[in-house]
Order: sequence, then C-alpha cells, then structure tokens
Amino acid sequence: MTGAPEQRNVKLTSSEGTEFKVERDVAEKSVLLKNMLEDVGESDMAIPLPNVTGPILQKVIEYCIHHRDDPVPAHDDDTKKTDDIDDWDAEFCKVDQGTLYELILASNYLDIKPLLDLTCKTVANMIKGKSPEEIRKTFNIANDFTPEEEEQVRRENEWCEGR
Amino acid sequence: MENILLEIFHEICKYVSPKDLYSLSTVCKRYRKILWLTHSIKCQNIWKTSRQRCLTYPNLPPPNGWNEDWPEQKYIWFTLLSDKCFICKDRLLEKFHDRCWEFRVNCCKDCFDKCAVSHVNTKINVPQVIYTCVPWIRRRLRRGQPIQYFWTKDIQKAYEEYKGLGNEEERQDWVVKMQRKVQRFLQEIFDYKLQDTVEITRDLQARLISNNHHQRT
Repeated sequence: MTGAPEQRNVKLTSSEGTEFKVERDVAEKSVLLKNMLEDVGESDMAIPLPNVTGPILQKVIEYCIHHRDDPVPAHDDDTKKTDDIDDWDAEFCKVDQGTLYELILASNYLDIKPLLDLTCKTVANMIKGKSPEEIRKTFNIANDFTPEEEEQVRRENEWCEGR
Repeated sequence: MENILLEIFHEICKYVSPKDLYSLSTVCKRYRKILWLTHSIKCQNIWKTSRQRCLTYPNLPPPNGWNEDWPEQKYIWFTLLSDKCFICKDRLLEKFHDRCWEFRVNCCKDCFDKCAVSHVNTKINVPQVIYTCVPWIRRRLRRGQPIQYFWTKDIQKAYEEYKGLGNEEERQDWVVKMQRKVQRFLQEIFDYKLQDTVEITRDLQARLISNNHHQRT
C-alpha cells in the first residue's frame, strides 16, 4: 500500500472510564501509544489508560493537538534551557500545582517528551532563585529538620570541615 | 511535592541550576537524601547535568583532589558559590584572588598567614623531608622573592602518617609515593587554575562591554 495513510481515530479511556476520540497523529505524540498502535494495528478497541484521569487526559490531548505538527525532537537535544517556553505553552501550564504534577506523571507515563520537558521546566522555574524557606512555602513542604540537623546541613554545605 | 516520585524529581532537577539545587537540598530531609549523596553516580549525575547545562564555568569535571575525590557539590561550592573565607568566614572581596587550589581553600590574607608556613621560617618541628610530601604554593608576600608556602595542617597530617610507619624502608617508600602524589596533584590543579584565569578574563571582558554599552546609551 502506498500513499498517505487514512487518518483513523483512536479511542482512549481515562481512569474513570470516560472515552476520548483523537486522531491517530495526535495520539502518536505519545511514544507509548505510538508503539501500542504499531503493535496492535488498526483496532476499534479503546485503549485503557488507568493511570490518567479524564481532566488530565483532556489537557494532554489539548497539548498534543496544538503541537501535532511539531517535528519529532532529536534525542537528548538542547532543550534544557528553562527560558525558552513560548506563550501558548506558558499559558497551558498556568494550572494549580496538583494538576501540574498530574500532567508530569501523565506525560512521563505516556512518554510525551516535549510535554514532560515543559512541565518539569515550569516546576524548575518555580524553584529558581528561591531560598529554602520560600521553596517550602511555594510547594507547601514541612521543614522536618531539627535545629541541630539544620546546623549540620549548613556545615556540610560549606565544605570547610578540617581545613 | 513532598512525596514526589523520585523519577520525576530527577527529571525536574535537570532544569534546576546548581545554585538552586543547593537551596533545594536544604528544604527537607527527603530532598537532602536525594541530593546530598557524594558517592552515588545517580546523584552526581543530577549535579553534573545541572552544571553543564546552566553554567559555562566551571567546565572541567571535578578534580581528583588531594586526599579525596571531589563530589560535584563541593566543586560547585568551591568554584562558584562560596564567597567567604573558609577559615574565619569573613566575606571575601576578590574570590578568585583568595583562592588556593593547592590548599583546597578560599582564604583571606590573615588566615593564610596563620594557616600556612614557609619553608624557611617555620615553627613546626618536623623532618625536612615532610615538606616534599605535601602540596605547596609559591607566593610573594609584600616585596622580595616569592616564597614556598605549605599548609600547616597538611604537614601535620603527613607527619602523623610518616611517624606511624614501622621502619625506615617503609618511610622511604612512603616519601617516594607522596612526592609523586604531590607532583600529580599540582599538575592536576594547574588546569583548574587555568580555568579560573579564563573565567576571570571572560568576566572582565563582559564587564567592559557592559560598561561601554552603558556609556553609549
């Protein structure tokens, strides 16, 4: 068979059982789904995604549709800068922390490298330039060091022992 | 984020600068445990990735050091983050100028005078041969010829080792071994001093360019 393959819809089911229909090239932004589809071939069966909730899957699909024509990123390319997030992506990441974390988990599970990079960069930017106390506040983390342990950590950080 | 999956934590850290990793490592016990391993390849890789991605300096891998390997964390601290004298903790104005790779310290002039001794004028009573078994630096204090300086604690430690050896033969072997080690070490840190020089020059150039720019606009 030659020529452009016919676009078929792929059905996905979120953890609650909600069904989503997406075009194949959108679904194939996920390496996990791409491999599955290649292995299984054409099928009308919905692919269950027990690790992803409906609202998160909706977001992920939104991302994949927007980026459907992006070139496939080169392996381990130089996308590790945190200041190269475009406006659409930045807007996309304006969600609460819980959602952001769910998006990281979903993109990790579905193996969507650009989305994983984007969401991780967003978290890294939330850490940038902050003191430990500010980081705790931002992410609601309890300081579980005793004052003695804190002192010990401070000394370790300075690497002056025995000089 | 407290119970964040380790895998995800690693993924995020790829985008966090070494300076921010330092802050992150003191947030809570769990983060400390992940980020403060000095002999875990995985942990060292977090710091290495961060250093290589965010920084142009330092660019060489961490040095082998004198008595111990340098983990990435120490390397970053020594070259980039520390701005205080390691001894008296006073702020250093010229970090690069007060850096002694030979003695693995950033240290002010007063503390250098207290902690280093010269070959000729020393109060420590050890056999002369010990001085050939520790790193040294040539410095010109005030006018006159540059003099060889040694770090007192290095001498003391070396002497302790020397004294602990059983007989003359063992001592001679030890001396030869240490002399080679000194040579290797001084050769190694030469590259790091060169790296510093390049960085100082680059920094100076950047400042000149930005000054020029300000004057024009």
